[in-house]
Amino acid sequence: MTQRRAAVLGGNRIPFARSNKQYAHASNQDMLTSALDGLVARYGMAGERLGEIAGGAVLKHSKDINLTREAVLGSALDPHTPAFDIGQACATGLETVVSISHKVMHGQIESGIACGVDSASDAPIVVTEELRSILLDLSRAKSNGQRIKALTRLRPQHLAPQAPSTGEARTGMSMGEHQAISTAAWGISREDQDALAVESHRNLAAAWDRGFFDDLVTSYQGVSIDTNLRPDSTMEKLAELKPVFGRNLPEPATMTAGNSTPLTDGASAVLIGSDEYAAARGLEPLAYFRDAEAAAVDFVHGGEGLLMAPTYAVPRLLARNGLTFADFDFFEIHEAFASTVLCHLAAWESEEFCRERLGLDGALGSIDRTKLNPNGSSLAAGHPFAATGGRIIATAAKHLKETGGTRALISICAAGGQGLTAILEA
Amino acid sequence: MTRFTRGVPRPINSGAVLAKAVLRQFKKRPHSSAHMPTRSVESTTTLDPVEVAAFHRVVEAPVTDSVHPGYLHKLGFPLAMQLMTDPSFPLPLLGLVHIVNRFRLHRPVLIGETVTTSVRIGQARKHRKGTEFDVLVTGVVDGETVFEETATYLAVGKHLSSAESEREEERSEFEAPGVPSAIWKLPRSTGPTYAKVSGDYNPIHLNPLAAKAFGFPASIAHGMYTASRALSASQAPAGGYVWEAQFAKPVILPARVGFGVFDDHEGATRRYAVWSVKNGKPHVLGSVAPLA
Repeated sequence: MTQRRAAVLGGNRIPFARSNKQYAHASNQDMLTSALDGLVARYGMAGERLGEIAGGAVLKHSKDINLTREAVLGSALDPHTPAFDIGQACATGLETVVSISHKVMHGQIESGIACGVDSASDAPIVVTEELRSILLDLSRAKSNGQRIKALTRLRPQHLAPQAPSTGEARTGMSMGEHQAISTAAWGISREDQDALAVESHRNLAAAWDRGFFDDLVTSYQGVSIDTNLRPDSTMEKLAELKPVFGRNLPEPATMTAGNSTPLTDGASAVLIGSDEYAAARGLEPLAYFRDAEAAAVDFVHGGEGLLMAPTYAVPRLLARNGLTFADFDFFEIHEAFASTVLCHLAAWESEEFCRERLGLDGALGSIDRTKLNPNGSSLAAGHPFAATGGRIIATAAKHLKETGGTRALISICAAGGQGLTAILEA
Repeated sequence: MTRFTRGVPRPINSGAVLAKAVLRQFKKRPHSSAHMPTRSVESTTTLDPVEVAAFHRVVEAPVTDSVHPGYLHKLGFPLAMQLMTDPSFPLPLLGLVHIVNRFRLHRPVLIGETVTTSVRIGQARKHRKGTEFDVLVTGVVDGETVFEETATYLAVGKHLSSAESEREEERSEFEAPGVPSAIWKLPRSTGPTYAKVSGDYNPIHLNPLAAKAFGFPASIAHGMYTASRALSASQAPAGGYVWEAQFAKPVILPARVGFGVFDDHEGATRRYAVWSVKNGKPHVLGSVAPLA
């Protein structure tokens, strides 16, 4: 087996749109196919057979067992291109990048696409547990008597549809309620959260203004820019918003709709290949995938914050690669909530947390805020769960190329108390 | 102790038992100096995987081959009802309050096993609010005792001259932790759903009007539902263990309740609590401790 490098060659996404707006009637498969086709068109890959496509969605319909393969079949790619679905909640998109990169690095494939999609609008609606149980018993019934017996259990309230929730299965609490606990525990102020949100909007707006996304985004359904972006967002405007999470806690609630990501629809795709593939196609690599590390926390019984897993993953990733924060030109930390990012930064600066929880000799270090999310992140762009990884990787790779930097750190927190982090380098 | 054994185990019709209990309210009860019946009753059940799975689903336990102790509790329930509706039973069945449940699981009990459950009633004890007594349940598989349960009930405002002296109680003030480790949303259907899998069709869990007749503002969740679900969420040890539940304020349905599990610093005991999100008052407090 050969150990090669996996190059990020390019990316494409559709503009992200707030849920139940422009993409309300587009399915996951529709959006993913569009993102793939945009990438295929940009790099002239129509009819080409690629090594493999990895994709996924967090809110997934049960009929979408082969979502990515179906999108490939609907795209301009050669139908002989294989595909597979994976899932790791909000880390799904980054996990597809890790998966395709590893296949390239091991010489298993020459090229591949890592992609992800999510629709909070065209969400699966499921029937109640009672109705599901009745219908399943009905299908298992062998006699009319058994069928009638199953049907007599049916009650009107069983017919109410159930929409999926962003609640954690084991705790019944929403992600925002969980984050509010960490926000209070780390004493993150409303002002700091709002400032981070303003910065995210300002950076994303600036990137759009200078044409940074011209070769990273293809318009869709009449949308040509991320619809959640508020370039004129200010501290004053954000200060007017009422807190929505953590209102039951003893500490004052600080998390608002302005410093939390909204439900979003969108899709993204990243082209990854070997140096040989890049040379043969005349493509100049934007960056190389170096390594990744996943972590998880015990948020159910262990009293740890649901979204704090990246704080564990990053020091392990740095140690394995012999790196410190000083070796990175910039940091892409997914903004699930402004306070999530601020909690991570505070944890890495905390001597106590780093010693007791992370098993380090002292604080991991501080991150220069001017190096954080230089082109904005999820607070401004929105967060279509499985599409965020592809957005961040394509954005970071291009930024690394443009600025002539050497290394970028990527960190994404996910439901289930998980986190996935990665290193891109020139 | 006279021993009563039915030749052929048969399911007990809880509706009939309940009807009997209602009728008995109008009959003359034995004199307050009467003693608790000393006989024991038993029945034998083979643990049916489908029924066990249905119970596990309702109390949010994974469907496994080892049976949730809440389901084993259900085996003794109709036998206890039978004893408590006996004409010689000196306290009124309706209005009894289940205040404590201690369940000692000697080893995991598996689906397909045949359990002989026997139930007797312990001596009545004086209580500051009336009279309390224990329902003592034993489960045996192939001559091996697999579980023992003590369910303590309180007859509020009823006094028996034959009752033993009051037991020293440990009463600790409950303070709701600021942060629950889970929030349970309990709809009104929680009562009927648990009734179906537990066989406990007490109308206070099914019907708001019936609940009002007993002084509750609306129907209430079964205490054993809340305790069973707490056990499911508490990661019980793999072998035998003691599961304890103290029932405080009833859960008025529908409700949002907080659940928390806390490691005891002095050993392997896990303490759990279920409390009202609205006012912080406890519903169920308990613990799970591995057998030493």
